[in-house]
Amino acid sequence: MSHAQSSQPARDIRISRFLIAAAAVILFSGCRTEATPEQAGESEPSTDEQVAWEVFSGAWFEIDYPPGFEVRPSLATSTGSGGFDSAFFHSPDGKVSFYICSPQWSREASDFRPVKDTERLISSEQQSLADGTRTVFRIAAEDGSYERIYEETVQYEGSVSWGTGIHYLDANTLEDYSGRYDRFKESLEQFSD
Amino acid sequence: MNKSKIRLAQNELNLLGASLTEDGGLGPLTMAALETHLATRGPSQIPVEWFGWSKTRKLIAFIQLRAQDEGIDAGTIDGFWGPQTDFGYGSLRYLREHGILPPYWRDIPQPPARNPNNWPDEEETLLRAFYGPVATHQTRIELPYQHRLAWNKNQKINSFICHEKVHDSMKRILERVLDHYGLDRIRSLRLDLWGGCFAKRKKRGGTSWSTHAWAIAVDYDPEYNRLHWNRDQAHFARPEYDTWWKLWEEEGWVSLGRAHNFDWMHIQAARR
Repeated sequence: MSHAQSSQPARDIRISRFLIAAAAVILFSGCRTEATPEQAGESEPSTDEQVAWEVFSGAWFEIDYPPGFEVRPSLATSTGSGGFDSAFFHSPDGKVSFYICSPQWSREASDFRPVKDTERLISSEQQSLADGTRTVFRIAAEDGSYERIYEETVQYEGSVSWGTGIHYLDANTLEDYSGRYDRFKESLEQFSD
Repeated sequence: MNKSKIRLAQNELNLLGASLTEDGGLGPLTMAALETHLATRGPSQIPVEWFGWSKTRKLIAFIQLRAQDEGIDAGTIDGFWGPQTDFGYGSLRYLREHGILPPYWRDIPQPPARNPNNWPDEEETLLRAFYGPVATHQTRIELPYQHRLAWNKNQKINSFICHEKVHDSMKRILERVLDHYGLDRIRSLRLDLWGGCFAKRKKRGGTSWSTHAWAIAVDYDPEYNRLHWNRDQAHFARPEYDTWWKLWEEEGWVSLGRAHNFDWMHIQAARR
């Protein structure tokens, strides 16, 4: 009995605290939805989360790319019937290009992977995967005008290989576009026959 | 862009009220009708920058749109001719010629005759019951004759990964291939050009796992036996390969080329 008498005010206090907290959450979330574009930009800098991305359909893959990017299909497939094994996606500001090469089984990404005479290989780092390896090549123009990264995945003892890449002006550009590049890579869906 | 595709587009435009001669030419009248129609499509249907696209890209986008109008998935309306657009075009053309949509060619199992190893039908629950989950129970097959990688003919392999349940059968077949043809003939017929066996991926043109996801299928010489090539184009449809196929079929393997006249590169230990 004494327990019941003493718990009633305590429960009222807890309910009051809950209501105050709930009101604060509602108020706070309301403030967030009305944040300025600059503020919204700070919380989600460059991933275009709110905008629908386009889909590019290659011969043996599909991949999403940011709206406004220009698509340039590159290596035609030699095993499908029409379509491409690789493609470039150029940003509207001209600062960055994304790249994908995903054939049916394997092929050299001859339109992106090779280090040109006007470039130098900065680093090459390989990591082990459960079913193969991933090698990250960092390449820079000799004149410092751009850098690029190629990430090559080789699976099942070399019977499957594919890669993604990004070509960018400088470290700031890479940082600006890294969220979109990650989303681009994660969207890759590959097919077989 | 070949004439049959332009002719289909002209026919579609005529169905929409144009009065074009269906001659397969991408002339000014056809382009005007095409652009007039594309202008009626909103930004939810076609990217607003379509008016800056090339003639060919506009034509492809129109075919994609018309396929989409008929409930056919022709992929993204982007004016690029990829495999999904090819599928959409073929389906639309079939619809206009036959009045009905074609059966979805990658999803229909049609078992052939012999099956001494009791390979299951190509249906996912049956494949899982027989072979287990995708990408499991793998082993290595040591090849009776050296293979070359189809995409890098200088690189040779003596083994590859396959499912443990198909190992013995595949080994017997390749030994018989060697006995029958001999190394020189194998090489001249490109029977040693290996595309691949194991890849955990879904099918192109279908909705289910590829048989490659279980490592129960092999692709040979994909360059000369492309996915949509039929018996008029595929090298493996020629008479000199009859014994090659007989040796596989005696063990119950299924050539999609022989059974369904597409994907002649592909042979699998599953019935369809």
